Amino acid sequence: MSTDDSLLNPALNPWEKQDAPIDSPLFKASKILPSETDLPTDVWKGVTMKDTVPSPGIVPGIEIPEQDSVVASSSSPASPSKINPPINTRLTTPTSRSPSIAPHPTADEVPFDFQTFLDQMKTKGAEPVARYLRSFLTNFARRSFSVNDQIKLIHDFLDFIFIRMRESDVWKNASPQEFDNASEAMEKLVMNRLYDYTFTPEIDRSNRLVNTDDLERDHVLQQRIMLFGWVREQHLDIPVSEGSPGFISFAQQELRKINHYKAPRDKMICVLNCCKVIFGLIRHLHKQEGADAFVPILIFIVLKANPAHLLSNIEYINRFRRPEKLQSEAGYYLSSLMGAVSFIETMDHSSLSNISQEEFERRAILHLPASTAPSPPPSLTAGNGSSYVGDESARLLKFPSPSGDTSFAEDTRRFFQRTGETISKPMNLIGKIFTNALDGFEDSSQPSNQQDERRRQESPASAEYVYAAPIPTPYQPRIRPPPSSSRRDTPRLASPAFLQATRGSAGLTASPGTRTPDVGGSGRGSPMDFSAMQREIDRAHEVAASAARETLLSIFPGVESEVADLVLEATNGDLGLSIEKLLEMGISS
Amino acid sequence: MSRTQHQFKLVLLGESAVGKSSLVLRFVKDQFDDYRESTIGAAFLTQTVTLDDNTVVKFEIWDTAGQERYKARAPMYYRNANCAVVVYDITQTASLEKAKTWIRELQRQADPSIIIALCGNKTDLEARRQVTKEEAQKYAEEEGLMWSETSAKSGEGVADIFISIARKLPKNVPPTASRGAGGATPTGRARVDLNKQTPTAGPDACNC
Repeated sequence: MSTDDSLLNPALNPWEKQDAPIDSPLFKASKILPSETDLPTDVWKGVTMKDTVPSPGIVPGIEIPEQDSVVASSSSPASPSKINPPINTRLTTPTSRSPSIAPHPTADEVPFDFQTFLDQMKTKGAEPVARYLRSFLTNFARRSFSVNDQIKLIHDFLDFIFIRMRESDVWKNASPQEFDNASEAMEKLVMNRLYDYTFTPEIDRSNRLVNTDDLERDHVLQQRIMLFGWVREQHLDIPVSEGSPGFISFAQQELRKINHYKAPRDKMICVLNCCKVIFGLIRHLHKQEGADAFVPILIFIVLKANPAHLLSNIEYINRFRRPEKLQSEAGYYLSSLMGAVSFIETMDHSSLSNISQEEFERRAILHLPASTAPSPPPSLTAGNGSSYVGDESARLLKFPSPSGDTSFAEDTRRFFQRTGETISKPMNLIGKIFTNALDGFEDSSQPSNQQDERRRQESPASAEYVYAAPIPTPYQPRIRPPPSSSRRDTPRLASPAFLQATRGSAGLTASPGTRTPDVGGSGRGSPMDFSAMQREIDRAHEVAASAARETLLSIFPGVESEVADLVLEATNGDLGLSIEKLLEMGISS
Repeated sequence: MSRTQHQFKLVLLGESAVGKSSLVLRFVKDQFDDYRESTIGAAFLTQTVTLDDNTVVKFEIWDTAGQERYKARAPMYYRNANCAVVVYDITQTASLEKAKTWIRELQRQADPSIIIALCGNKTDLEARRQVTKEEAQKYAEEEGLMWSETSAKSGEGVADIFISIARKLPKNVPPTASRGAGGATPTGRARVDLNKQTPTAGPDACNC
């Protein structure tokens, strides 16, 4: 093992305690920052991660009531030979997805809120935790580790810090769900801060040593996907309806957002949101829901979206998302995405329908990337300005989805029909989706498809690479009282200005409240400046909020922006729900 | 009351159009008016079964695309699966042949402790039956598979097959279930899978 002496530098592992759950040589060095004091651990001694970190789903508190509560079994005749023992209902929260817009989080669901966590980290009770975290980040940044060491260091640190968190006053009495949220937030915070050191394209961008082949694989995949720019639905036996284009561009957009967020959790949510939109399309097409329908569309979306650094992103999620969060549903959809990529990597004419070998080759050659390949879609990630861009949280879409007894198709149809009735001039993606879907149902001949087509022809070369200004993830209104005056001054940005504005805003990181020196050496602000983080996140939320507001206003020109704000607040920033709500209020466009 | 919940990964294989997805939707939906736990879509579903002895078995059901062109992707789905339901259509002889290739692949490549159930679907189309019960049952016996017939349409037999698997799953995997090929089943293999189950909710939920 090529550990050099600096590994044994005591300062390298300041957060380690004798009980730190690590056995790697990296962690042998003991010693703690001089100021560290031993914490009273008696109360929580023996608490294991299994006890303290339940796993209520991928997106705790947002949409997934994964918390298992098995309803008591109805009594059964205890005859062992009985073939059909009772299957017992399980679950849980009586969350209704019915069109009435009950704001989602229900009584026993505590929504994930990164802001709350940052606030908690600023409190006195969290000081020991904050100190450990700071030391860890500082030392992680001091030298470069191999990927495997990074994975181990980070996971070990998280295991360790979770125990410390449980011991602290702040989380001592947190419910399992609340503590899971806090753990999620801690993972997010750590990875937000270490993004430049762990996400391969960022490592490269900051001129650090890259020791994986992620970038080569990204490049090969991206080039390969460009060869298949001509692939259409029929080549993958995907049915088409007039509503398809809207769903398909929506899904692409969700997938591309993967490059906006830093934390593995948030990137994963982007994947899930993309998949969710795909299921919206499947319902719209009246296809049987299942992998037979899902997989081809996912492949199609990956081909169309061609997100920058897709493999790097997947690898990053696999490496740094906690394993227990990569099981179940998240595991399924991440595997499916990996499957889609691997399909594309090996795709030839025999993998596609309705095309001969000659035709396949002819088209692929036509699409050979020019020597001056189009530059990849601009990434919204940090590294271009404020180091806090992308720190905010992604949220799972609340795309209209099944409730109780209505079938998916019914549900979706109703949603679109109602929406469509009132739309006259769709001005954006959402509107387009609704209109197209409606056209499909009412067989109206007015095709926004043609506009689509025209647009595509107007910019053939760039079509696949446009990074559409995202419909930002629904913002979450801040609930906590505003402690800092500067936040109110945060400029509201219209979405097109988002990119430039945030890139040029390096000054944001300088904060009078900065408590630690810049340990990252990146000159981009200290890793632990919670206030600056929060300001930037607030800003991202502002941007998202203003984009959501614009969308609403474009669908409902008659609505005053204050009303739009109120509705967005009431729906927690969810666009789909907001649109429904306005419709229910009888407001037409 | 003390209850043990076990969580198992179940992978669903079979040609497209044999009714895989309908089968599992029937299983998941029938008992409940809502299967909200699928938050994204119906390719991944969960369902919980409570057995007589109060054992709770939670299935995580991973659907796979049945089209031939996606076959090479299957290992990503059956990796670490505890059980597999391989579905064929009793009105299509070819679909049983396809099922057999899946089974051979599972026997060769999947975890040796995997429990495989062969399932003939569409018994509501009895008049068009091409695959006899005897033929399928004989094959299943030879290979040490569970076997039954179902109708996703009427619901007949659907719950039974999952319940039978649930019975067979927790820990005591009968020798017959670990079929021929994989031979050297390292003992404790199933336990490894059990341990990797998601730690569930309350502090008392996981006592492994």
